[in-house]
Amino acid sequence: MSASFHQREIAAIPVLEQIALRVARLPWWAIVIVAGLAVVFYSFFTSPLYRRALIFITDDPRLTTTRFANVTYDVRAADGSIRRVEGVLIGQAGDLINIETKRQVTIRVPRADIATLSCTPPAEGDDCPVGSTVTLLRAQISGALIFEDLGRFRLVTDDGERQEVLKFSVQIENVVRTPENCRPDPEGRCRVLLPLKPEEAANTISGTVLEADGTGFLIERSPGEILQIRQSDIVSVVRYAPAECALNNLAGCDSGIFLTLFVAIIAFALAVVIGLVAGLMRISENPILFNAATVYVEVLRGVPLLVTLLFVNFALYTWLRDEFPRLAPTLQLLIGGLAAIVAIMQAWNRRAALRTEPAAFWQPIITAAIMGTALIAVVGLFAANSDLPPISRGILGLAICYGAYLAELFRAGIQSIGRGQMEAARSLGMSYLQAMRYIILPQAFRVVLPPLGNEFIAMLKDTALLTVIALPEMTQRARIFAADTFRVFEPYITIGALYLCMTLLLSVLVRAVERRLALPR
Amino acid sequence: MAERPIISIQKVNKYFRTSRGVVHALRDVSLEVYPGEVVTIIGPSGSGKSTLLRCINRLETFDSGQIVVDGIALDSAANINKVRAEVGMVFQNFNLFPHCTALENICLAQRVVRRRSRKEAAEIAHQLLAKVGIPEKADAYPSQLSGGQQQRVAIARALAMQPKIMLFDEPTSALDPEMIKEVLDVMLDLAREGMTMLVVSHEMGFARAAASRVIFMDQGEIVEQGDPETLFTAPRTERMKAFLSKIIKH
Repeated sequence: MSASFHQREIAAIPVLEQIALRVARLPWWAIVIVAGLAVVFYSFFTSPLYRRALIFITDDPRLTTTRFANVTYDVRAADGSIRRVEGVLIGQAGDLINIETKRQVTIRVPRADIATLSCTPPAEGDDCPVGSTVTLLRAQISGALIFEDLGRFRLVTDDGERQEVLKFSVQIENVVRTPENCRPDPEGRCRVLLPLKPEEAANTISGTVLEADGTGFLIERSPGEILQIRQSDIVSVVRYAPAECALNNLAGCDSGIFLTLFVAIIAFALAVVIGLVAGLMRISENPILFNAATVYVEVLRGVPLLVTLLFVNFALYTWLRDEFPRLAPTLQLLIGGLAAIVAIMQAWNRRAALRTEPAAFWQPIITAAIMGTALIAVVGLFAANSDLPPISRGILGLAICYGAYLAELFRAGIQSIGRGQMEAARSLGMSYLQAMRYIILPQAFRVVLPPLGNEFIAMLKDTALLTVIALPEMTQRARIFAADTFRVFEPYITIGALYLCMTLLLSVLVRAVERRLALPR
Repeated sequence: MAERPIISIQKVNKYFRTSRGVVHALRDVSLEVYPGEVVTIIGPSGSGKSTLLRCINRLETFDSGQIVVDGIALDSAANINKVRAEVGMVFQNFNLFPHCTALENICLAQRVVRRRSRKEAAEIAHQLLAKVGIPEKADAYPSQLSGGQQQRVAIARALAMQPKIMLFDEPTSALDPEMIKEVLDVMLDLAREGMTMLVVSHEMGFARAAASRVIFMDQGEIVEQGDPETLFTAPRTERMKAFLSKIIKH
């Protein structure tokens, strides 16, 4: 009776006044932040520049599907002839399409590789003098194979030029490798001869002859230019490849705010796993585990995050791509051997248990087998996909850095739980892992939850550093916007407000989870 | 007694190595406990009583000698988790799991170690809570219980594993005086039911009422042992006399 009266009394206060009462109870800093955010969000609705910045930064999907696609069109020219245009789609306005053609300044072609040759002005015999314009069909290309993946060969020709050849332009069934079936090798021990498909436009080279001698030609291809063509002139679309995510092709990646959140969440999940393992190793009594974890933690904590990111993105990435696949089988063998040794040692130690308690005898052996297999699989996975895309490199860099920070956090959290808890659990017959799983970690989790939330917020902000590896997350998009429009206030204020919204929401969320998990006092 | 001892300790030595030097915590300790016995261990602090108790379920390792619990020798090959499941332990600081209710505290190890179903474990837990006199506190968290209630939950938690031996490491010394009795009453009940118990405690009343044997330890050695009445009234050694006079003074 009295409760309902009470409620009615509160409802009687006008809504505005209720809000005013709530606002009055907020601390002044909250009012400043909310007011600032309100101004920025108001700008999104009123100022076209702010709105464009917001759309660009949070990512308009239309930007990624049309821009930067690799295209090949057959286009009808004014005189009715049809010519082939190959390049990157960089813009579209109504019927007009802007295509930036491939830019390769010079290329050296040995005479032996040439199938047909024609020049303007026409030359005597089948030679083309310096200065003439040449069109030639290349029949083959040979050199030392240094890299190969599903789509391309990368090789160094005898003239010392690096060339990339797309596999679809090669008669792949006639490729000759010396020694037979050799794999790509940076030292040049694998030579290949690639016969090219004559019908493929990429194999027709035209340009101006810069040098001509007995062995071959040095040709200056037409430098990249921006062609404007009409959509209605396109006779056929030979190739339309939406932009792929790559360092030189940013718009192909999903970008903006989604990329920021995606990278932060995946990297943090990975960092929690790494941190938990390293944290448990840091409290281990096994000196090998302890020292390995300590070196990892101290090094990664002592090196600036930015330096680690650059190292992972450039140095580690190149090593993984070029060297790791060759080392992987040896590494897998080593891991397998180690797992076998551990299993045998465990079996020897527990041989007495075989008759009385087979489960206790087999369990560590099965564990060693599973761990060994898993590690071998991980190494294999890395070896097979060693050419990591930029997004993976960014995630990896953040994860190994934050793994080190979280390791210390988890170690402190676990050690803050009194020794008595572990003793009580063990005295009831639980194994070390069971005690960790049921007793120590649930308690440690409550201890580390607030700092863990802070670390996630810190990581979310640190994704901005990925702009140095040209990952098109929010900050990179803002920089591109600033470079495109020469406006600096709008993009940076916009990303500032967006980061602030995300972090504020997160800290509210962390506090809510903390309250839910809190134990009664 | 003609029976086989359930705990047999032979010439056990234990050293604590610290940065300041080596402490000889147990010196050639030998002790046999038979099923159904209630043994109380007394002695000044640092005399090795708790260390001895903790060696019996390998919370501490020892350097030489042999301990056999229920027919299993405690060496590196022993499945220590199996031994521990048969040996209940009650700690001075209760060591209840603060993130679990009283009921969950009692059920957790039953389910994880004894692989009992949730229902079965809860039934046993409710019976034990009734036995220790706090059936109404099943859903309370340890922080909501008094010291005496917490210690009784801890005893119930150890009993839920249906151990053959119970170890009590100063179970009443962290309690307010008015709560000591409720814990001792539970222990007395347990002794009357024939549980084998090793109790490190200075509760003379409990020793007189329940102990079949009292052991006096000093500086890592067993100095004197016997039935409580003779030991307390007519100590044979000087060290025991000095210790008793200190206790009785206040």
